[in-house]
Parts: sequence; structure tokens; C-alpha cells
Amino acid sequence: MLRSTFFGFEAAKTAVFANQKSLDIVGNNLANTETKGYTRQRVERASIYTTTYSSRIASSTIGQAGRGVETLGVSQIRDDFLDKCYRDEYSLASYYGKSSDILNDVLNVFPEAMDITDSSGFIGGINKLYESINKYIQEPTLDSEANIVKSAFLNMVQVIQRADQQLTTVAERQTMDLGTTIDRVNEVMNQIAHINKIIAGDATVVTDPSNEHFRPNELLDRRNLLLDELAGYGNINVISQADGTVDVEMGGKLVINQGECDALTMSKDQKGYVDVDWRSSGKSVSLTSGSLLGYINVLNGRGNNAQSNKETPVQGIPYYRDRINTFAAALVKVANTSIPENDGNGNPKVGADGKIEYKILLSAKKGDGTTDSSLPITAGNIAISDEWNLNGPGYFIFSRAENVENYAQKLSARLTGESNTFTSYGESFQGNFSDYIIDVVGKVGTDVSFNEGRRDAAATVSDDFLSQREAVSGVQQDEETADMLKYQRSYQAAARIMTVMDELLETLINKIGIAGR
Amino acid sequence: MRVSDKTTVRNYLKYLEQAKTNYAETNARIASGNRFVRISYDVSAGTRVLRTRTDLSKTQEYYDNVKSINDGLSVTEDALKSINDILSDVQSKKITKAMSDSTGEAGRKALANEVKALKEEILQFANTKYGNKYVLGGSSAKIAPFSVGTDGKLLYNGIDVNNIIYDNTDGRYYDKLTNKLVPMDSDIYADIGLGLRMVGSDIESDTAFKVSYSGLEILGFGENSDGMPNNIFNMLTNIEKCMRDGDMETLGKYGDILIETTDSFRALLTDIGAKTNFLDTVEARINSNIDSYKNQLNNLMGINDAEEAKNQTMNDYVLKAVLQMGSKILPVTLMDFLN
Repeated sequence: MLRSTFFGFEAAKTAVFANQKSLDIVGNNLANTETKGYTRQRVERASIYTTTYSSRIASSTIGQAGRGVETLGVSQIRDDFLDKCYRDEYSLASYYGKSSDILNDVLNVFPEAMDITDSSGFIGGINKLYESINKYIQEPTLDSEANIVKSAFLNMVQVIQRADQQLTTVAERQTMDLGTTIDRVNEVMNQIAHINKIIAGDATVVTDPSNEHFRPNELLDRRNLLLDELAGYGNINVISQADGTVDVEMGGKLVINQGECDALTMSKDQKGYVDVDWRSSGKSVSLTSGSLLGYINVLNGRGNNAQSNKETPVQGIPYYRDRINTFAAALVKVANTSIPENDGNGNPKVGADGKIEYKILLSAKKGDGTTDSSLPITAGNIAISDEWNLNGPGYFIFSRAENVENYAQKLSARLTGESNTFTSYGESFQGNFSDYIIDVVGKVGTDVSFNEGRRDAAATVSDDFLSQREAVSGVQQDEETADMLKYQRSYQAAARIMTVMDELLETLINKIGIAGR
Repeated sequence: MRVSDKTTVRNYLKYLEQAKTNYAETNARIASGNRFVRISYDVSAGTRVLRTRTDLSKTQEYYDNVKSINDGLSVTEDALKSINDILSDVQSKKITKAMSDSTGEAGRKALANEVKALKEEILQFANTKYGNKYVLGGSSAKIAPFSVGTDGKLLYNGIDVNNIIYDNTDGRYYDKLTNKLVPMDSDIYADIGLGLRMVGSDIESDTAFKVSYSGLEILGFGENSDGMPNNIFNMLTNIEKCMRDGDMETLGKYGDILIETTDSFRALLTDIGAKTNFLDTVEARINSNIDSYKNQLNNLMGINDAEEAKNQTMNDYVLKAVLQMGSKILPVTLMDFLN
């Protein structure tokens, strides 16, 4: 067995280098304890392997043994399975989170849903109508009392119009927000594709794709962070490739492939429905979770009234617009078929067709500012009729000579007591006006409550997966401190080896052969 | 289990946020006195609150209606009492006196003048107005229902009351000469929470409170089998005439009829009393309903003061504990223990 003179120094030197690098990484881990997306790193080491395989003649390897430690690379500790679990659940939480956000905006359209003690909403409006008509009934020939009724109707009309405007505002704001989100999704996909390209071009990956101990860790962290974000927008599936890149499927469609990515486009039709398509195919995006689905479902959700494929069966903005449109139309129908015109002899006026002619109290406002009761009534166009405005509040009075209150009683009963049928496109409701609004606000309240509940549940699960993932990948300062001590001691030991080696050489060089000098 | 520092910090912030949220929510509940105001917090209780508030609002309107009817009824009662006093006076004093032998022709004429004045008083009382309504005059709003025709006979909304007949089948009054309905004599109802229902544009009489009185019901209408008027005013006209003419026989007959008429008139006063009693009962019931609705609202959305006070103390304790925990957990690592 032969051993070179300075052999031990080399082994100690590898240990010094390895421990220095390990301390560097400990420092890096500690520095990035709170860095978003950072995955803890570790120096991979192995004892230097000695072989005689390449020798021409068989020889003992004993002389080569103990060469020290080899630093294989700096790896990151991560579990792909937990990534998938977290992303799937995060995607679900984002869907319910976005749905509940928008539905909360819809809920705020109904003052009595936002605050059940409020009296300025639909139910308060109906109550005011009842009060005013009852005041009027006590003096049914007076303009002053008729004016109270007109004010109550005006209040009701304004409540309906305000709700319609607020729904429009919510829809516009959320559509704009969806546009911004889509821009961000495209940006994120671009960045992932770009990082894919850099990783694929990294020399270490290219030269040794099987080297699992060295990866461009910081790029991987950035890409994983972007993939987490992308999962929040839609359900994704990440497929790792041998060249270090990842392919990403979103809603079952391959959208990122190596350095290339697809993009989303958004359009809005005249009715306000949104369409989110893939640029490459022009086909609509098809998701099962994520905030994009939340936007699309609530913006296009028409519940049981859905008429086309574009409309989703979720009770979203179009659904609640249908409900207030139906309310407006029913209100106008009742108001305009209760108080007859007077024939001049104190009796209801009968038209040529033998039917009683009623006073037009409410109507549809046209673009030119006039009203036309023959137009379909919506929450957006409902207005006090021109007839009532031009003839003054007293238009409501059936007779000025006689206390005739029964028509007003009828109107009051139809508004607050009697059951009406409220028919939307696909569903119908039986009850009085207050019951109808209570049904509507009950529905939006249930929708919000359900979505918030699901959001919280999914967030708890995704939070749990996040903790599990952090348990694997997160930095633990105690652990790093312990490692720091370990590497420091190891470094000191390596230095001690050098001292010992030096002392050995001192013996060899300076102390051997002194005799006879 | 390996707990990373990031998880420790994240969880700690989550606990802190939860403690602060609970703190703020309890404070908001105590300040507002409401367990919740947003319907999505408790949809079932929220919708019941809305329904109860609608019922409460209607009931408060019933209460106002009852109060208003009661005010109107006291005016009606005063008018009826005044008419009743006049009738008693005419029947017990004027007729008796006129029929006394000691009263001479001049005395009877003086009595006739007094009866005439009293008759005019009755007319005024019959046209008593409350607000925009003639309380004893059907549904007329502008023109006094009772007037005197050129022949001295009483007209009700322009029709001679002697010619008016009552149709039992539809409960309406008709002019027997023209067979037409007596105008301005519709019933007026108020909703006092009896479950108002309508048939066409007519109110079902047992589902609302009738606030109008037909003048015909009060002063009488038509003629009896002897061709004598049933109407008080016309009766007094004839009594006055008998006194002037010295027709003691007919005066005696009218005296007897007047006794019956005064009796039936008192029944009307009793009816008013019964109505007032009924309204008092309704008012008490409405008040009790209002209390019950308010209780219901309190149960549905009100807070339990003792429980919230306990929550507040608990929240305070938890928040302080979490903050203290933060000072202990967050900065402490092995690093702190090394030299």
C-alpha cells in the first residue's frame, strides 16, 4: 500500500469545503425563512468513491481510501404529491371565495338582506305603500292623502330602480375584474413558460438530466409559486418532464408546454354575459374550480331561468335581475288594474270591449323620457306613469264627491295580503309581494352562506395541506441552528485533522534522522 | 412532526386574527343589541325577522286605524246622543205639554216653533262632519247628505226619504220611484286586522270594520202602513203641523210612534257602545300582538346580555393570551440560548 505524503490534507480540505458550503446553505435557509415560496435546501454529500476499474492492472484501493467528502450538489426538499393536494384544494377554495365575494355584492343590492332591521328596501317600500294607502282610505277624496300614496309608489319605484342599477354596477365591476384576472392568468402562464425555457436551457440540467442533486432551485421556487397562483384561477394538472420543464393542463386542456403557452381571451355580449375562450382554439374554457369559474358562474348564472348554454344554472346576477324584473312587472300589473277610471256618474268606466278601464299608475320609461305602459316592464324602466305625473297626485282618487275607498282597499289587499303569481322564465312563485322579496333575499342569503361555508371548509383543508407542505419544505430555525453547530464542529474537526497532519509531517520532516547530525 | 417557522408564524397570525375578529364581533353585538344583521349569517332566523317585521308594521297600522275609528265614533256618538236628547225632549215634554188641555192654541204654536227649531237642530246633527266624512251620512264627501226639499220633506242625497225602500237581498237602499240605488250610500270599511278579504271590488263585511253609518239607518226612511213617515225629521214636521193645527188625535199617534222610535234610536247608541267596546278589545289584542312580535324579534335577533358580557371577558382573556403567546413563541429559537 502506498499513500502520498499530503493525502490526509486533501481529505481534510474536502471536509473544510463541504462544511463551508453547508454553512453557506444554512445561512441561505435562515435568510429565507420567511421568503414566500422558498423551499429549504440541503447540501448533498457523499464519501469520495475510490475505484480501480480504470487501472490497467489490478491493484489495492486501500491507498486511495479516505479521500474525503464529495459535495454532490444543493437539493431542495419538496413533495410533489402535497403540491397537488394543496393546489386542488386551493383551487376549490378560490372558486367558493370568488363566488361568495360576488354574491355578497349581490346581497348588498337588497337593503333588507344587508341589514334585516333596514326599512329602506323592498319590504320597507311595500310596508310604506300599505301605510300610505291606509291613510288615504281614511280620507279618499283628498289630494294631500293621494300625494302620500304617490310618494310611497315613487319610493317603491326608486328602490327597484336602485337595485337594478346596483346589479348593473356589480356586474360591470366584476366583469372588469375578470378582465384584469384574465390578464394576470396570461401573465402567469407566460412566466411559467419562460421559466420552463430557462430551466430547460440550464447547463447543469442539460448536461446531466439525471442529477437529482442539483437543480436551479430558485427558479423552481418561482415556478412553484406561479403554479400555486395559477391553481387559484382554475383547476390545473402539472406534469413534470425529463428536461426539467413542466406541462400544465388547465380544465383538461394542455395550456403550457415547455416554453410555449396558450392564452385566455374574454368577450362580453350585449346582454352582459361573459365568454372566456382559449386563444388557440377559440373554445370556451371549461373549469371545475378556481376563481375564473366563480366569475363566469355568477356573472352568467340564471338559475332555473337559464335559456341558453351560455347561461349557467348557478343563481347569479342574471337570476337576481330576473327576480327583480318579475317583481317590477307584477307590481305594475297590480297597480294598473286596481283603481278604475270614473265614468262621471260615480261608477267604474267601461270600455268599448266591455272591460273596466283602470288608471295607469305605473309604466315603463322610454328613452325620450316619456312613459308607455304597453312596453314590457323591467326593474330598469319602471316609473310613475306620465298620466299620474301630468294629472297630479289626485289622479289616484276615484271620486272627489264620494268617499269611495274600496278600490284603494283592493289595491292594498293585492299588494300586502293577497297571493300573486310571480312568473319568471323558468320558475314561478306564489305569495304576496313581501313573501316574494323574503324568498329572494332568503335565496341570496343561503347562496352566500353556502359559498362562504364551502370556502371556509376548503380553505381549512388547503391550509392543512399548506402546513403539511411547509412541514416538509419550510425552514425550521432550530434545525438550521443545530446544523450550523454541527457544520461548525465538523469544520473545526477537519481543521484539527490538518493540524494533526501537519504535526505528523513535522515529525517526518524535522524530527526523523536527527541522530548523527 | 416537523413544524416549520413559517407554519408557526402563519398559525399564530391566524389565531391572532381570529381572536381579534371575535373581539370585534362581540363588541359590535353589544353595541347594536343585535345578534346579527346580515341575512347570510342566519338565513332561517333572518327571513323570520323580515316576516315578523312585515307583520309588525301592518299591525301598527291596524292600531292607527283603530285609534282613528275610535275618534270618529266618539263624534258619531255625540251626534246621536244630541239627537236622542232632542227626541226625548219632544216626546216626553213637547207632545205631552201640547196635548195637555191647559195648553192653549198660543201655547201649542209656541211649542210647534220649538219643535221646528229642534227639528233643524236634528238636521244639523245628522249632517255632522268629521274630517272629510259626514259621520251619519253614508259616503258623501262634499255635499251634506241631508237637506230639506221645497215641500219641507227631508231628502237624503237628493231623494225623498219617504220614497226610500230597503232591499233585504242585497242590503242596499233604493228609490222606489225610480228603482235606482240611493247614491252616496256605500259602506266604508277599515282594515283592523280581521283578515280583510275582497270579492271583486267589494269588501267582505265580516273581514273589516264598517266605519260608515247610513243616514237612513239613523233617521229612518219610508212610511209605515198608515202612510206615516218612519223618518224622525218628517215625523217632527208632522208633529209641528199637528200642534199648529190642533190635531190632537194625530199628535197622540205620533207621540206613541215617537216612543218606539226613541227606543230604537237608543239601540243605535247601544250599538255604538258595543262597537267602542269591540274596538277596545281589538286595540288590546293589537297591543298584545305588537308586544308579541317585538318579543319574537328579540328572540330571533336580540342578544343575551349576560352571555355577551361573558364572551367579552373571554375574548379579552383570549386576545391577551394570544398576544402573550406571540411574545413567547415568535422570537424564541435555539439561537437565543447559544453563547
